[in-house]
Amino acid sequence: MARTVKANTIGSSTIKRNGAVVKGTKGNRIANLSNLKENVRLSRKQNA
Amino acid sequence: MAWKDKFKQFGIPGFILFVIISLFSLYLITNDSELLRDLHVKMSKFVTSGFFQYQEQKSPILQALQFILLILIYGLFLLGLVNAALMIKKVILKPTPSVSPHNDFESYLELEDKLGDVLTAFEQQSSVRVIDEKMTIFMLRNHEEIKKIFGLPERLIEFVWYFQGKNNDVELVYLKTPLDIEGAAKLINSALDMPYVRVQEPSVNSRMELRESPIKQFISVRNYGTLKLGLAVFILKENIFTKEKLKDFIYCTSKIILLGTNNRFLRHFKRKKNNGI
Repeated sequence: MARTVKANTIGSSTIKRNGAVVKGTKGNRIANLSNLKENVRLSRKQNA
Repeated sequence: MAWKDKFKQFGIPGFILFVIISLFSLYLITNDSELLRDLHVKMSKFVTSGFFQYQEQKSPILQALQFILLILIYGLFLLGLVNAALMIKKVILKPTPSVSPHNDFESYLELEDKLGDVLTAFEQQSSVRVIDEKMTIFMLRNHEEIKKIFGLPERLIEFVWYFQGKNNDVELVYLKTPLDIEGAAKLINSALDMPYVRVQEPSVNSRMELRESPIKQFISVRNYGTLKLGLAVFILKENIFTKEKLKDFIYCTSKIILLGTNNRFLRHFKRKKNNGI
């Protein structure tokens, strides 16, 4: 369900990852996304 | 190639001089007066002025002068032809004027100015409220700039900032909740499995899991090394990405790559998220 917050407030969520984030080491081009993770654990917090 | 560079450097006048020198060299080497005479006769055929007509009885100096002038006339004619051809080519292949904000220097400076305001607020030890406000303005200015790059209205583009949380968590923050936050999280999460600073998915709906998502295109940028700060952009319209727009996106987001490395900025960003302001 979409909810709009006031422009000066911030909404937030947390992605619960199983593995560590891969370090960003390459930047000479825009890479195409390879694999899409099917499931993502997301906990949401909304400030209004 | 070296000869091509030389030709570009000296152009047509250089070429004419080269022909004159070559012909005289050939004349000197072979000492064949017939060769130049034949050439002179043939060249003067197309010139109506009597002065240029070849006549045996004229002095060799006058003949040489006539010959050089003839070569210059032909050279100028050739120069005119080449320039005319180049002008036609220029008109036909005229590039369409770029409307990209890449050239919008003022706009870029304004973005820089907003970042400067945040950094100055740190230096001046401004109140937390002032820093928060300046950070929000900077975030919004970034959004504006990216919206302009892709030529999209507010309703067709969404932004999510993200940074490393506790353990392996990734914290997402946004000024407006994305229509498909689950889909957005999937895309960000997957991009973070790649070692690239910038990742894009130009056809989000082609992915089985996201075929119903309102997100059509996705692009993300984050800092080099361990994740500190990133920005994900979600486009709600198909076929927006072009080579030119993506180039502008790279240019515009080059500061974000460094932003996360500023500890004070990152700390306040996290605080902002925790307080929801």
